[in-house]
Amino acid sequence: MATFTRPLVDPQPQSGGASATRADGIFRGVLIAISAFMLILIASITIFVFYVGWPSFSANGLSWFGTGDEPLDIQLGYSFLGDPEGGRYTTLNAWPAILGTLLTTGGALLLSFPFALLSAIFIAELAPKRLAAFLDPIVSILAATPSVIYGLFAILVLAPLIEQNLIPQDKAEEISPVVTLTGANVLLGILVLTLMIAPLMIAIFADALRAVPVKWKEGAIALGCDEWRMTRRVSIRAIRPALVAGTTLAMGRAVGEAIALSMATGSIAFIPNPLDGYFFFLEPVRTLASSIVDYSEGFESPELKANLFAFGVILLITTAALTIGAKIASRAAEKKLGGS
Amino acid sequence: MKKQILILAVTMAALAAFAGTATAATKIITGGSTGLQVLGSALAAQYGKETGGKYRVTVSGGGSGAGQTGAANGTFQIGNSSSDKSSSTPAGTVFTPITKEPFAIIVNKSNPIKGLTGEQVKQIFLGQITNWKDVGWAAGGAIKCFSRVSTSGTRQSFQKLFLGNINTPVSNSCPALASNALDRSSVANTKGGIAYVTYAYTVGSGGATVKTIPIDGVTPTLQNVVSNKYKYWNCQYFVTKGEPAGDVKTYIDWVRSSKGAAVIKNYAVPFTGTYDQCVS
Repeated sequence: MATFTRPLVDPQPQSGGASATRADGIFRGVLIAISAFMLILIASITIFVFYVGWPSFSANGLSWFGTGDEPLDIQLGYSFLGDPEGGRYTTLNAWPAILGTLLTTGGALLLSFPFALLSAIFIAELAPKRLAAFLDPIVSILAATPSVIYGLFAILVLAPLIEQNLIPQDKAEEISPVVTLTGANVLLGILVLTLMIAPLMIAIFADALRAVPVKWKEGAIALGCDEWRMTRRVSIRAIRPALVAGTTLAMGRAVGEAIALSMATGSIAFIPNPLDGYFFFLEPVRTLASSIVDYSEGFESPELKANLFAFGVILLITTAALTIGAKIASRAAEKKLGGS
Repeated sequence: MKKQILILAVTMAALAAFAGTATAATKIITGGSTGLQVLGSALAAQYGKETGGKYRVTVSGGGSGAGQTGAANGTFQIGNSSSDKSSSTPAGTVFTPITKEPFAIIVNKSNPIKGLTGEQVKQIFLGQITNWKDVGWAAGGAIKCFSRVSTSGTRQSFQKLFLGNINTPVSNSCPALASNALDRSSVANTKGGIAYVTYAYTVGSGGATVKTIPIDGVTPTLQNVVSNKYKYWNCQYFVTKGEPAGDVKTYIDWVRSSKGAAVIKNYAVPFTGTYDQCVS
């Protein structure tokens, strides 16, 4: 939190000193009020989400996190319409959605981290000035592109390509009683998330690389390091806090992404089978966040509403933990850097 | 300073103008089903015109469920719903049918089949038939069925019309997509694709990207619903809290009159029967 200390005020006001101080007081008061309002707002949203989602947890206990007899989509459907006999239905086993979130986010991070790091090194250290000046704004634009654009690109352009080129028809026929294999699947979800988060990571990594003191690099070169060794041993080490912060920020965006993944991951809360080999990545999933958008039309059912808010609780906890974890990790990395 | 006065004056004038329109017309707030949004807006515009601007009907989206809840809690004076009453429908709501809307089965344009029977559609979407060779396309390969999320009014109506019960779920092997439009583009992009959509999605340039097939030998057209040949249709409703009354009743009566029918017949089949006739 920002604190306003005396030196901020012009020590020798030319004229109207008293009124400037009063203006300061008002300014400070307004800022405090705004921050307090934001804090109260965030606190009430958190309390509200927990309150509405609680019945879903309390009805299912720890099995909320497990797998159930009925597929998740059927459970969500029953919680909206009632079970086949028309009775209230509160069972929920959310593992398929949790797994979907883990798979897409994890895959995208594994794919985008090396890619982003190497791109950042190229842009910040190796690229000719004019090329870097050209690439910089492109990365920023890509990082700020609304996710629905990536979703549309995925479903309209990439999905047909995957459908026609990667899915053998005989395997699709064999598996079709269990699940419909289409171009939208885990792989497409990972690809679209990678497209979304890699530019974000590149931008943060490149900024950090540029901030590494030239003296350090020159020192390494003077000691006989070649450029690659200098990058590896000096630059990358120096930006470790930024690597942690950038990756966590990207992870937060990936975990919470709803719209693009709703379009890209195949729209079934399926549990991909690791025994299917590379087909594992061609099977559909539905993530926590995209379940919320996909089913949001059904909020009038209290059971479904509790289930979707419970998904929200998990997302809130995850992103909060990520943010706090990133702060701690990046501080630890900074400390180590300062000490070594 | 002059500029500030000018801005102030303009703002005041705008506010006055806004207040003027607000008092001049009586507002009727409607909303809900996205499937009814286009028709609802057309009806609203025509009603405003015919009453000389005395009434202003607003139409917003949110889904059939939101329409039903909104009618019950007063957000909407009229809630739009494309689906019948369900166990989630708030008590005390009255459903007034205004149209019959055909439901169609669409397949990829490369699909050579001439049509399906209602029973075949049922078996496909229950996951009992999974290969095109079983319904007349030897080289078709896997049937790739596309469905909607279970909160969708379109899905509920499909389950009622083709699977026999609103609570009989479509096979979980079919991807449950978030909109009619996504279903259509998935079928357009997938060789073995099949999906159910409302009539509106089978016409126009979008409708031309897929093939609409006859069911039991009858093509889903408005004409075939009027003549009772095509039996896979569902009613669309205006939902009110209690029986319609006052300005709302006047509007609903107008929609159900020949004047309203003249607008409706461009989008669906006008229907002035009772709720029971819709669900029986």
